[in-house]
Amino acid sequence: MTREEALRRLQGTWTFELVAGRVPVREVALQRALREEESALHDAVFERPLSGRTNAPCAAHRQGRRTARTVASAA
Amino acid sequence: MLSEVRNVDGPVLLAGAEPYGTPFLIERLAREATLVWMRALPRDRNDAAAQGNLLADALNRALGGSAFPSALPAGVHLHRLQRRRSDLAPLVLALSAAQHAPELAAALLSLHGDGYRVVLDADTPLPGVDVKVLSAELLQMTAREARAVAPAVLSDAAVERIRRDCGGRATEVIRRCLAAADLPAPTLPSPDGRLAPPGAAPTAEPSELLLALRREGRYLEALELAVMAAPEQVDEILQRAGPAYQERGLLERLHLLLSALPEPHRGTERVLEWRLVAGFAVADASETTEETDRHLAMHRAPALRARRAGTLPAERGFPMAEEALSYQEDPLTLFQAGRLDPDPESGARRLLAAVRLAEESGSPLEVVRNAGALGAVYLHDGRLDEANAWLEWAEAMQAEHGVRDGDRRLRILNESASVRLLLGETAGVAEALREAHAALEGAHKTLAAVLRTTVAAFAEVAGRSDEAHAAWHAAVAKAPRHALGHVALPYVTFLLREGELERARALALKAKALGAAERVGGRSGPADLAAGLVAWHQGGPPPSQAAEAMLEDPRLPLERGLAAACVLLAAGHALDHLPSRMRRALVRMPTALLERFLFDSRHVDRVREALGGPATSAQLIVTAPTGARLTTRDGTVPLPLRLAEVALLLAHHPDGLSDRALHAEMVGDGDEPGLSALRTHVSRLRSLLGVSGTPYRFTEPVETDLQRAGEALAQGRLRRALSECAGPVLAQSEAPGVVALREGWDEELRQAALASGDAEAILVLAERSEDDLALWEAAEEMLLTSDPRAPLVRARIRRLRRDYELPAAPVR
Repeated sequence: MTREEALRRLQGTWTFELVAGRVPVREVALQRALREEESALHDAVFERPLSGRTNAPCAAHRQGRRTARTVASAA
Repeated sequence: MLSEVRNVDGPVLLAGAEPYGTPFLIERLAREATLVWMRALPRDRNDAAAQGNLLADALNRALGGSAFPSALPAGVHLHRLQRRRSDLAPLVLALSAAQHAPELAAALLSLHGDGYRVVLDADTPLPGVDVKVLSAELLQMTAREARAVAPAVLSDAAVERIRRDCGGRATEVIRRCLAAADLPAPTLPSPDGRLAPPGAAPTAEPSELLLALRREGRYLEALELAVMAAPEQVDEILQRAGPAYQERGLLERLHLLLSALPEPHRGTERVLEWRLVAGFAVADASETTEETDRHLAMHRAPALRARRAGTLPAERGFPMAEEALSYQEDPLTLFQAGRLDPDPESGARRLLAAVRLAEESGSPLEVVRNAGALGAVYLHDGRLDEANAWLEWAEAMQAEHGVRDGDRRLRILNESASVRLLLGETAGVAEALREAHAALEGAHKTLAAVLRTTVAAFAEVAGRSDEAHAAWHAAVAKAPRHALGHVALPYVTFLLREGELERARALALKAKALGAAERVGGRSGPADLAAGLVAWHQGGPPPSQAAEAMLEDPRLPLERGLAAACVLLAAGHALDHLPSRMRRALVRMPTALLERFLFDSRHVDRVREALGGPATSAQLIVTAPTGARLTTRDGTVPLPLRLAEVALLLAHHPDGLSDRALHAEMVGDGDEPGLSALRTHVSRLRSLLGVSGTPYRFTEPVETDLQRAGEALAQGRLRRALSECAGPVLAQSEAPGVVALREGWDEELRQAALASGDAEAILVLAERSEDDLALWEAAEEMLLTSDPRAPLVRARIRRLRRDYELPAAPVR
């Protein structure tokens, strides 16, 4: 697909809009997250890790949990 | 407004949307029933997976847990909602901004009624959607309503003036009244939390919003914003966003977004990688493939190289995957190299490393993907127990980590079902497979096709002949030309066993005519074997040559290979003659399940001998929901109830039963039927099986499914026991001896399940019982709260407690 075709198909379906170079944020929860971002900007960028709800590392080191090691040795 | 909605019996469309305060009205409906609330967005238009996700997410929010996976069309979830209506009702299914998802709106309407209420909300009427429309005029705020919501400090006259100026549009009335009283603007309820009114939202710099979205883990939206306003960040965001789009089945949208990127951002390595993945998903990858190959000619790019390897046929992909692995060892490169490896042992080693690495440092999705692939390799290699262990673990990991990719879930279910069918441990998975397949037919063609042949095989093994015919017929009718032989072979075998020679012949000929594509390097394919089976049935020689030729192909799927292997053993070839993977699988399988691969029970006997097993007993099935049946050398016949009762009692009394003893077991204290009627039944049974004079006993070995289940239970193999016994023993029988066997077995099985702590076994029994509250509560106790089945189990418990007038259970 060409870029032009993609842009044409995306028209009218964008999740966000740009108004004078800024994005209106209707969601109250997201507004709150933005205010937290603003007040701790330096820490947020350089120290706190980004969250990854969909792709968090899989910590399988809980007691009694079957890990790949236990399945491999049992099979 | 609320009374207007309540007064309508059928589904309703609120043609006014936010300006008329419809979000407040929908929120209010939550007081009457559980509210399943969706809000469509412009990006959802024409996107079946996105609309399916809207419904699934709303259901999971309302019911808790993750019973409804992502990446599946709405039709699949609607099917489940229909099936589970008695457990889940009452529900209000509300779709706001329905104009962005008219297909979903139309589909929801079919659910309305019997405890489900459907409410649509749109800013325009929806063409082609047949629903009662409550127009903007009807939704106007009345003077009384305006006075009730306005701050007390405003006079009646002021409130009425504002109401008239706003044309009765509720949201605007509320906003202006609050402004007049110097109070902050109202927020509107929505499925995603409170929203600022349209036109009154604060704004943010795109870069700040992007950071906030990433911190919140909202990678789908972060990518959209980056493509629009910060393309230089797309490459980095893709590290998390790419897998998120994949898990949610939104690769079509991803393809569109990445195609819209300007240079040079569209050509960076990670962007190319995901353009390749998304492009292949939508069959629009030729340009990206060329760009990828040019990039790979100049850079190592291990991730991109591994992805590219996965798009090639195995012979070409494997060397490329190995090269990627040599540059970098990670869950992806190990996955591709392991999956494509022609040597199953080394492939399994690599995939095991892929699983371990994904566990340590990868994502749950990678763990599940890699474990599923490992299970598939073991299955291909005939290592059934290992395959079963890994596929079961992959399913457990999916549940534990809430991996929502429905497409992947169903493919793993299919593989798992295939293995468990070969092992004879079908309880639990058979029902899940049938439900999934029923939901997919009509809603998701590709996945339906994947499951269809497995569903047909299950139906065969369970003796559900009509269902097997229908499933095989559909599988053959919808199979692509190049795969017809693979589907035709098992169906031809089934038809021959059922005595349908003409249909078998016609299908075999058709498959052979179209089967040229399956012949790799001149080797015979399954279609040739199918044709050979028909000829063998007609008195020709066994099709050993076709079978041997098939077995030379190392990539032949195991099940097709087992059919060829059984033909060779039945024709007198030695077990050692077979490839090791076939030997392994055949030796591990319960011999009763070999029947599926042959059309003549004498052939089955020869195969058993070759495998060193005992001679065939006659098989009496008394727990099948479809009714009792008897299988002997001469074939399988259904048994009328009285004959089945006599046969069952004789099988369970090997020392024999006198006339009077048999009468007591059949009739108890009553007189009817009398002794002479019983003797008639015994005579009729003699036409099928060897039965001595009194005391009556079988003169040949007869085995019942109940006996096999009992043996399995005695060995601690609960799931095997459940698979052998598909239901209650001769459910319709009132013969005292049979009732005693039935009740005794039911209780033994129930106690064993409750003591086992095996959630799946308990769930199987609970489903069969339908209303055994103790079993359902035990199942709930065993399941993880993240298990997708948990919300539906909880819903059943709530209903049963209501029906039995018991207090609600404490919240877990």
